[in-house]
Amino acid sequence: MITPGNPASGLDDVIVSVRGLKTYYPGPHKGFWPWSGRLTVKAVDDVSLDIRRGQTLGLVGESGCGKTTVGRSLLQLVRPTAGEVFFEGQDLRKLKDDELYALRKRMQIIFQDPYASLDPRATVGFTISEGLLIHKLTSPAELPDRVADLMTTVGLNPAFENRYPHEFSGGQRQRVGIARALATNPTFIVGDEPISALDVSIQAQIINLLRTLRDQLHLTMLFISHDLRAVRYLSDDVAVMYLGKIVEMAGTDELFASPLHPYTQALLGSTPKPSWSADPAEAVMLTGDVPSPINPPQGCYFSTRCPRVMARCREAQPALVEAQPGHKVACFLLSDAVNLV
Amino acid sequence: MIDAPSVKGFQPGTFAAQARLEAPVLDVRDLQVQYPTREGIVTALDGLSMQVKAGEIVGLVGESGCGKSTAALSFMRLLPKPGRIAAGSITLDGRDILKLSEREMRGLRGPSVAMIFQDALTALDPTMPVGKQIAEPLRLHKGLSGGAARARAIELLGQVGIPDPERRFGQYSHEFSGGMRQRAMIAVALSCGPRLLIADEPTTALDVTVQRQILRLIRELRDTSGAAVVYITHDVGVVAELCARVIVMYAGRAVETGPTQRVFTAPAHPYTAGLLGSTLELTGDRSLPLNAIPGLPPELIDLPAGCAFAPRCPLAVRQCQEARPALEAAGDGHAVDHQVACWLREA
Repeated sequence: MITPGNPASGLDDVIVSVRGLKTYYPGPHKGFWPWSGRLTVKAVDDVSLDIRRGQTLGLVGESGCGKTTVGRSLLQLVRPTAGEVFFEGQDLRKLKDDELYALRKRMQIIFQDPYASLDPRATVGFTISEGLLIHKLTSPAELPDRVADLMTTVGLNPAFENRYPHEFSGGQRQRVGIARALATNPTFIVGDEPISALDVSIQAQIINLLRTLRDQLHLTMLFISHDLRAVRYLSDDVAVMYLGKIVEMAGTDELFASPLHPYTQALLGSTPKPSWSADPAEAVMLTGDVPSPINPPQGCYFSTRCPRVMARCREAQPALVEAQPGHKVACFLLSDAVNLV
Repeated sequence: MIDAPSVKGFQPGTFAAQARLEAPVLDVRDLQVQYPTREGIVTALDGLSMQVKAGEIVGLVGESGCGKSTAALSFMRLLPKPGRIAAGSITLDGRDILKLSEREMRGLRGPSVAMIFQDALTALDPTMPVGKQIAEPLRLHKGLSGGAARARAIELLGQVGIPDPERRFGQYSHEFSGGMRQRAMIAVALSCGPRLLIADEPTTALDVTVQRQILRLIRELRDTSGAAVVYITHDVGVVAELCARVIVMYAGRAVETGPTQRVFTAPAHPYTAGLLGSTLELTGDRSLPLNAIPGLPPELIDLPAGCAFAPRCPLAVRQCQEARPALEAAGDGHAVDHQVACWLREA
């Protein structure tokens, strides 16, 4: 049996907490020579968020907004440049390598690409059991049973444990990836676009599976996606990112019912709608593309595409403030309104 | 230059083809495409029939392996080897393109039929300035001089919404962002004012805000040029917004076809219903599990004897396992051209 993570320690405590997270990558060279200095790509620029035990936070944004880097920085798969990442009260950035290594069994990741994230030369049974062996969680005698259990949990036939990844379809491979992540009984899972490489009918299967597993095993999740529709089905709270910053954060129903940031409104308005629906699309259309994180615009990063831009937006950056209880937004249109109250 | 009489005289922006509006631009009958493989012959497309009129956008929707891209490539006669058209006919503007020589066909690609692909980075030539790629077909097919082709290419870049087209003309595709690249490829496809535009997942790799721009562009182009458009996608939402008619495909066959609103609001085929149930929505109750279709699509090499969807179908009866249903009127009395391939249709 897969045992649920420990719900004993209370259900409302914050399990993952991030303060002022910055992750910068070295960018292209400034000049022609290999020794000329490098530009900095500010992939994640001052992100703070909390995830409570048993809750799922959806992180949504367009390509290049830094959402994947946030997920990887949380797990210390990339080392952040600055900021604090707490997991169950421990600052991960201060841990020694072996301490972090031991913690890894408690926090796992499901990757986007089910083709690239599985070792083609390892049987799926081995891939699933590797974490168990490394962390010595199961005795060798019990291992086959445990692997069979995990495969059944994610909807795979345990008889296939000696098959190789190429013998499976994309959806089945993603199930292998999920089984691998679940193997060590983690409390926290980062799902990095786990459904975006899959066909529509398979996406629905995997979303249903993730929902069931989350509820049964009391998992805490960070669900990263570019698709607001997918985030809506899986998340308790949603954070919207743009160019390395969180621009809006609220409970899922609240965010979809009354988006406050012009960018969130544009994302929602850009999702295709049937031609026969009451309010056809095209309400908000953004022009242009996302600017480069190497050279972000002055002031509010969204000011170059914002339909409601004001002079102020080009000069200063709005802070993420609570516009309504539990609904944070980084926009001068709203922080002004808040100040007036 | 190959002379294509039916194409000559057609100018984008004018409805010179008014008389031809009634006759479909693309008329496909019982198209069958096969790929010989080591394990045997794979029938990637089996008995597809479709008509697209000028100014009409028809959606071809289905999951990977359903044959939608194979269909697109056969309309261009660009099937990769060893794929071959085993049966059927493809009529483009009254000409059976399967009877044309390769030379004649090359004359049609551009002025008669053009295609936009999912991945603009591979579709564009990285070694040639983008503007030149737009000007080239104009010189080859329309006989424009270098200067005139250049001027027209810059105009086209502006039309597809690329800022500063004169500067962009001389740039290479790697200097363009994803959305801009897609626009540039659309400009290449549109350069000769094609009668039929085939769009194969043109927005799948793009962000939603950019997808919104491209969808609008395609609609505007259809309005101004009156071209017929075949829009291929796996995204039910895009079809619902863009296409007047839809063909739902499964395992190489059309399983349901008709006016989009009819098909999507009252699906007659269990697969269409399953696809719609699997589709993520922005509204509605999100606490319920999605109505996912169980199981996996079949291998094309090893199709079941009866209906290909029967193994996954919640309503399958014995007949479904034994014989393959033909595409026939859905019989719901609402739309004449609503057809479904299912034994359970209301006869």
